[in-house]
Amino acid sequence: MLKNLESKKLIKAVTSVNQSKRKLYMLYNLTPDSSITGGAWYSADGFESEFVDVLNQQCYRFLKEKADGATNVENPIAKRNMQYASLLQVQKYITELGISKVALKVDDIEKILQTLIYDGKVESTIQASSRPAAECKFYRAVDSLLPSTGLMRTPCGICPVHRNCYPGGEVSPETCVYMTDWLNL
Amino acid sequence: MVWAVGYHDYIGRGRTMAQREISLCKVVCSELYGSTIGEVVAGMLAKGSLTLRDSCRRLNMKPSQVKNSLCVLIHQHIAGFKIGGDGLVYYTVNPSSILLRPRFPRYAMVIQRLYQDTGELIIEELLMKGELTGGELISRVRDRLIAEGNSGDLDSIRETFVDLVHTHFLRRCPAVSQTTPTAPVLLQQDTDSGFLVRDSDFTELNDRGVKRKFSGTPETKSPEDPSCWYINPDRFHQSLRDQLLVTVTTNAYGPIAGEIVQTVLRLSVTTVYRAASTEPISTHRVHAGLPGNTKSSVTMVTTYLNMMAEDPNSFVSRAGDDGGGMFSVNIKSGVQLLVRETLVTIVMERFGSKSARLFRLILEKGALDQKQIESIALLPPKETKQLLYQMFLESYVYLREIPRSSDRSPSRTLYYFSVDIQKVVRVALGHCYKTLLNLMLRREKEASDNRRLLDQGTKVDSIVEQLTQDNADPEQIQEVRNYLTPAEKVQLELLKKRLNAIQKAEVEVDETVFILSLYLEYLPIHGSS
Repeated sequence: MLKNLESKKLIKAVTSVNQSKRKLYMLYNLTPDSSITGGAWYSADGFESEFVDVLNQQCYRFLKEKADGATNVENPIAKRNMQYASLLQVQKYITELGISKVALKVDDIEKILQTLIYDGKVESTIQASSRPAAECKFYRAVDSLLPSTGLMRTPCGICPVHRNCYPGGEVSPETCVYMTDWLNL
Repeated sequence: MVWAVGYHDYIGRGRTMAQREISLCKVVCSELYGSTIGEVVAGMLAKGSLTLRDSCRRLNMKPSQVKNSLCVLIHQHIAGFKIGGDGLVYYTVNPSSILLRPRFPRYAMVIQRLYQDTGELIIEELLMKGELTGGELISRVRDRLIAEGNSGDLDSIRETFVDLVHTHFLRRCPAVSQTTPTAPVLLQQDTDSGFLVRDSDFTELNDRGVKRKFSGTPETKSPEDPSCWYINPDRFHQSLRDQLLVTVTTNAYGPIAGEIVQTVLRLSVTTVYRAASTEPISTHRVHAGLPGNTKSSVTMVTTYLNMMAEDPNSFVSRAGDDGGGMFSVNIKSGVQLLVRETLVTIVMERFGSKSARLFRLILEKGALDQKQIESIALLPPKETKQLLYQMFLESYVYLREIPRSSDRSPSRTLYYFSVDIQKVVRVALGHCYKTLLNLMLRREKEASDNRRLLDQGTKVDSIVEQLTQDNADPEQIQEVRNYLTPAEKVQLELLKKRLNAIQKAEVEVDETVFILSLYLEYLPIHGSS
């Protein structure tokens, strides 16, 4: 009976983001809500991590180019303002690139920029004004504050078996192969 | 002592983390002062405070051996003594003092920058000997300067010494207030008297700069006799800490901002070492204090200070409006920022950049469950789960179970991930100490495996130096150099390169130790907020 309705193009099948084996059916001319499809990041195959990564890199590149372009300004506050881009500007740039099949809304771009903040590559600020929210949030590419630390420049810092290592054991500092490689570099 | 106690640490062959730190102290002391002293240190650290008789019994050593070792340790400010309630003298070894030893090269670097060679030699002599009287110190430094071919001007050395005391890098040892039959009682020193120089401090040097022998016996030593001086580690740590804060500021806001913060920290250098923030300083004073060759205008200084004060992530804050604006550096926030960035770097290098994203996310938000983390970090569920549990295994992330039903079934329990900075700092610190121990053990092994080659190399070098000083025939010198075959020479060069690389790595690991232990030092005084 369902097949009948489907062939008459009155209903269609929709896959839920919970990957349940159950098939959901919906009227043909309606679009499913994002809680079922998962939003812009989910496609028929599930979570699209490559797509997210590509967007991540493109947003960062846009902000980095803007930041590098503001080098010859004396006044630090003016220089900062030149390096900032508003949320709307970033969204326009991404839409113009055309790498996305679906239209990305301002909220989606905001989520991507938030992950860049957690990566430590971007910082954001808000300027109070009467304009719509998308024009009040600003983002800027930044460098890391402490690029590296002493512990992680030694083989022990990244050793996968450091907890099993003790003098005289099978894994020991005296016979450590990672140390030998590091010393012979 | 900043003991690093881990919660989920795998215990290999019964070695807990405290035992590992005792091993580290033993290796450090053995290298610097000999294996007997290393044994004494290890034995006493395991037990705590011991009387002389108890320590002889525990360590199975003759009293004379233990006595000599304790003398050296007390002289080096590693061990202390106290008269206990039962009238006996108890000796304790202080592990934090021992673990400052890997940092000594950086102390010398700090002084070399500020006081050049003379200052560096003064500090080096004190680091090696522990305590010295003023006269002895100055004459030793003069001998070293002459040996290097410089002129040993007594007055300039003395001036540098006095400067070092006035800037609190050196400190007078506490004087004896009374001598009881068991042990001398030391005078309690207030903060300022330890940093004043008296003329009587140099009575050992007469006009010709020759040290006069001290003729009295210990009981007849009067308060006017020259007392000993030792280094003040807190002041060096303040300098290193300030350097780090300036580096972070320069990375964030540019070199001019770095200079400004350096000036603010320098102008307030005599405030309490562990203060939460500096005294408020006006813009005009900062501008006047900037280094002469790179002076920016007052407006530029004000602009930078205002910009930093308005940024919620920075540690400069506005304290008032008079004098063109009063600003202070909030050292506590600075230290917290340093520690946060260090921990994130460690997580990134150890677990990957995606893990660093999760770590920063959980740090900011507090406690989250896996689904929330996935949706904010935009990572696939499988990857998120794997990264989170990897960090949990190594105690970087804390998991809390909140059961919703009384039978605590997993399907109806909430699992919240959070980051407890104090705990992660201790885990990372334990990792650092273990790395330090591993590096030192490896260096010992490399040296002992190639002992013969190293000894030959030293012998050849010393003979060559002797011949050069005696202006011998170049052919003779070349003959001595040829005692080592070309293959051996290459091997020796490579060996020296390896040993230097390990030593350099030890100093670098100490950089991380410094930041982490700085945070733990500030914690009891200023809390974690």
